[in-house]
Amino acid sequence: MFMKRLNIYIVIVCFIFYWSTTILFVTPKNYVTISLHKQEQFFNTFFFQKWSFFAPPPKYNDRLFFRYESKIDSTKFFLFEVIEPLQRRKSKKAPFNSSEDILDYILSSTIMSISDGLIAVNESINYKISKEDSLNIDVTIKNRIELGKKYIQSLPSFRTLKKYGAFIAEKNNIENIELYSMTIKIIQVGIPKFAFRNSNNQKDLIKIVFESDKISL
Amino acid sequence: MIEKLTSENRFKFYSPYLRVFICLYLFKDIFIMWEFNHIIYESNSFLIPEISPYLNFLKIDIAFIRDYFYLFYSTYILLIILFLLGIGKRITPFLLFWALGIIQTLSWLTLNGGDNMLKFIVLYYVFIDSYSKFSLIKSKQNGNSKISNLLSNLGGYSICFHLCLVYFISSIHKIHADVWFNGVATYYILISERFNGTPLNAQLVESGLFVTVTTYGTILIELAFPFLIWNKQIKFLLIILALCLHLGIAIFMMLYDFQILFIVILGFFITNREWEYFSNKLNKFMRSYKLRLI
Repeated sequence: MFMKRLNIYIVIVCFIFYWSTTILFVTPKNYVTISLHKQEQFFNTFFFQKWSFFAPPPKYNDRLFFRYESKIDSTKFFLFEVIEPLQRRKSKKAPFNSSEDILDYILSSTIMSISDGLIAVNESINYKISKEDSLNIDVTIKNRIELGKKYIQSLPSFRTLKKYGAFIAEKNNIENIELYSMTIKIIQVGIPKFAFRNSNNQKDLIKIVFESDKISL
Repeated sequence: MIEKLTSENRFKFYSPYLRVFICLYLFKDIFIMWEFNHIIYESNSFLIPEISPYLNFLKIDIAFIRDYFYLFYSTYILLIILFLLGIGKRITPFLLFWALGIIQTLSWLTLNGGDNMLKFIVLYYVFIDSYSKFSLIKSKQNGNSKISNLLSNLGGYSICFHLCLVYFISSIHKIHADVWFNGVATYYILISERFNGTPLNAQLVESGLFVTVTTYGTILIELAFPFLIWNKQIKFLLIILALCLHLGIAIFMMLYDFQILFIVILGFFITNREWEYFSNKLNKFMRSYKLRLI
């Protein structure tokens, strides 16, 4: 009888512990979660979760370009944009669009991870500036771009895009791919602001997010 | 309180249905992903996987799983079948949770909130006794039924709490974002190419009233649900509102399976007695319909 009661209390204590840690580490960043950063990392190893659906919502549409330039003659190149036709196909085939949906997830998550990576690099430079003497740090935009590029090109997401680039080249019958170098470019086309939704004069708000070095495939 | 949690399995009616649904959902994923296996899971995949804690714990290299992918996939499919048939009550959902963790690591770029939620539901099913129906080996009532009921109820309530947590966290993030705060967020979502589910989207967002009502309505439902769902008087109203929200997201934003999963989870908030009442009503209706047919 005593053992049964003890078991019941052990189960309840475990339950309370699990839910306390879950609530603690799922809430937005705050003093407590930052102080318990190591424990949070351990928690996220098995119980990672993110529930900030559409906060903030997308304010732009992505474009992903693959440019294959001849190593011999730089005026000879092939250019492909892969996001817009994919989204068009996805909308057209809805609700039977699972193939397009999967490809969309792969490409959009990759692009998102690259954008987040660039923000992280920029923030890290700003943090260094606040901690150290800014005169010792190269804070020029050029250096920020170079550091960002270097970091992004080491990410699994970038390597995924690189492999996808090889797939696109093959699909579009680009022969002798070793004679070409590939550049990946990510662009954001802004959605007109709500107040200007009916205005025809709204200019396209185009922003280059990332442009890779020339890569050999 | 403890007496209530140990006296009966409060999710006895609905949990077997959700178990079957989870299995069908996982089979659907396998079916849809099949044509992408070579680019997502196999050794020549163009996805570079993140580090998998589920494999690291077992000291297995991710490349090994990719090399012997179909062997691993067969085991995963077998676990789903065992779970569907109710064989291996607690060990099967635990192994399935682990296998699902590995599958999700391999396909991490294709995941959405539904997949994240699904992983936790499978984990909670380690504790839930859902084997009174659709099971080859039925649940037994023995000396340990008190502890079994307790585990089952805490597992069931964990599913409910998790849905409440999702709504609450989502709503506080939304309040923090300027376009949600200013009542225009649904315009940006519905007009964006990724979530342009119907030709109607563009027309709907022309209406400022529609955008304002849907933006604030979403926040209101997500914020109220975790606190008011426990009130018996308004429980069904909230379930209907949440149902409408998820149906709207599914249709207008093309997030189908993700939303269907959330809709199905809502059934966990309905008690055994309420389900039995609906079931009896439905049976009566079916019988009278059959009679009318004759």
